[in-house]
Amino acid sequence: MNDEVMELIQRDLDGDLSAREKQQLHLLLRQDPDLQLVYSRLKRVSAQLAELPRISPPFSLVDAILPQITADDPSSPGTVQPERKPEDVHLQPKQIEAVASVHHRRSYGVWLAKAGTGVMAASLLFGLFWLSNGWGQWDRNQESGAGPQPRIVSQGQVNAAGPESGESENTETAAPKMPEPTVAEDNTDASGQKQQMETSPESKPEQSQSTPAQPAHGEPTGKGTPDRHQSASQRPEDGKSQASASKTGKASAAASDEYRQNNRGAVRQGAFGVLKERETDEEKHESPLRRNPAAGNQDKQAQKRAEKDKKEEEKQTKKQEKDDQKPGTWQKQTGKGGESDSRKQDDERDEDRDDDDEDEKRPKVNLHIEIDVEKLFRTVGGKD
Amino acid sequence: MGEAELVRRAQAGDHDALVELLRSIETSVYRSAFYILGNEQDALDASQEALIRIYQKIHLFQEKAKFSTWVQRIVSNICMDRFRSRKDAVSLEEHQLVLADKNNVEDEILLTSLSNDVHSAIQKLPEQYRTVIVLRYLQDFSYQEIAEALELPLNTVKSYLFRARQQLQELLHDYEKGGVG
Repeated sequence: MNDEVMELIQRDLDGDLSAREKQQLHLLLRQDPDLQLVYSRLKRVSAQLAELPRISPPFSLVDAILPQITADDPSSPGTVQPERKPEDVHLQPKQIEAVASVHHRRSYGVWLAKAGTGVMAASLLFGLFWLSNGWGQWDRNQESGAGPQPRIVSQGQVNAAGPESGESENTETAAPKMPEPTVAEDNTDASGQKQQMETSPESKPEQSQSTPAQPAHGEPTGKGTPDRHQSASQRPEDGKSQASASKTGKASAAASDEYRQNNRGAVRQGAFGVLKERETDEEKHESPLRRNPAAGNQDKQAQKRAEKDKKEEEKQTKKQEKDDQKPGTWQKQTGKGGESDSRKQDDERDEDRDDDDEDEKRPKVNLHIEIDVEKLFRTVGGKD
Repeated sequence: MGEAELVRRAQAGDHDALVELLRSIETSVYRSAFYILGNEQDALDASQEALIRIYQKIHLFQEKAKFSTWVQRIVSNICMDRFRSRKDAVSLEEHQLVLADKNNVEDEILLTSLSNDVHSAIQKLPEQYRTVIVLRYLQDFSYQEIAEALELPLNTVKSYLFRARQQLQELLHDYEKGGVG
């Protein structure tokens, strides 16, 4: 069977032949009975295919897929609202996270507050413990020993002015506090002016002994004191007893100034003796505290005493400065105000008594200080 | 409202127009799926999948082609994929599915009619031939429309159709002779 005839038959079944092709097919079919059989079978099959039942779905497929479409497709307008619900659900954990972060911040702040309160409480307890054990006082003494060093040294010199001290030491220690002249003045108050005249020669050799050391310390102080000695030597000739006392006070003040200056220089130079003096002074202040650490009354008393000593020293220095500024007025003052001088002498006696009490409390430690002072003078004198 | 207008409105975002358009094509979609796949259940699944895909891809449709050919292309592709996946399965399952299909009412009607042999014969055709027969006799597509739907050359479509009909004639002739099947 020719393929062209079969194509004509197939195309005729589909109605795709032209009129000429139909005539050509009819001619061929008339000539070949087998071809007519094939044509009739194919036409029958095509008719059967065309008669296939036009089936329809048992239910609406669109209604079945609409819920799925609306649930899956976000582009449709009807699906926008249902899809916002999961977004809301997603927002809840974010809010929870935000709350958790806020809670974390709050907890961090609370933790900081607790830590701060704990640190403050610990510091308060430590401070109370520190004060109760007297370490605060110890620190104060330490600090005061570093700053006002000359005052402490002068106290050491006062302490060193005991009966066990040597001659050279007496010359130096008599300057700051004048314990011995006050004793002589006590005698003057009791016996008269002659005894004071007798004390003035005692002070003269002391001052004459101190004068050789003064050039070593410095010329200005060394020059100032001989003039005063000369004036003082003339004044007893005038017969005024109180002049000798004021003179000795001036001399002692000058010596104390010199000593302070020397000690300052020694402290600046970092002398070994000064360090020892510091230690000894610290021991003086610490010793009562260490013996009775919990005794706050003794601490207060010691502080009061130290304050008194400071005040007394300041008063003395002021007086000496006044005397130095007004060298010619001392006779007038002695002549005019004998009562004021007597009051001053009484104050000095009280102060000396307080000093003596303090010396009685701390006598033995002073020996070390005296040796250190000698070293100091040697070192300072050698350098100068 | 015509098909072209519904398509235009559906592409513009009119949900109702799109739904109406889907309702107008759902029967043809199911019919093609049924004759290609050979059973109601697969036809329902394939047709629903095809409708969803049309709903999702409606914006990709271009008016150069006929909307019915574009829909049958989607259906034929889905059915080809299902046919290939089912063909890879065990042959015993195919026989069980065929036996199960006999229980359906529609299948019983077909069995009682003469078209039962034709339907059985169609299921014995190759998938390409089967699709061409379905589009030609069930969708009344021309050679050109079949070619557009299946994206095949026109001569290929004719060839497939001629061969499919010849095979069906032979099969049906055998049925008439002694009932081979």
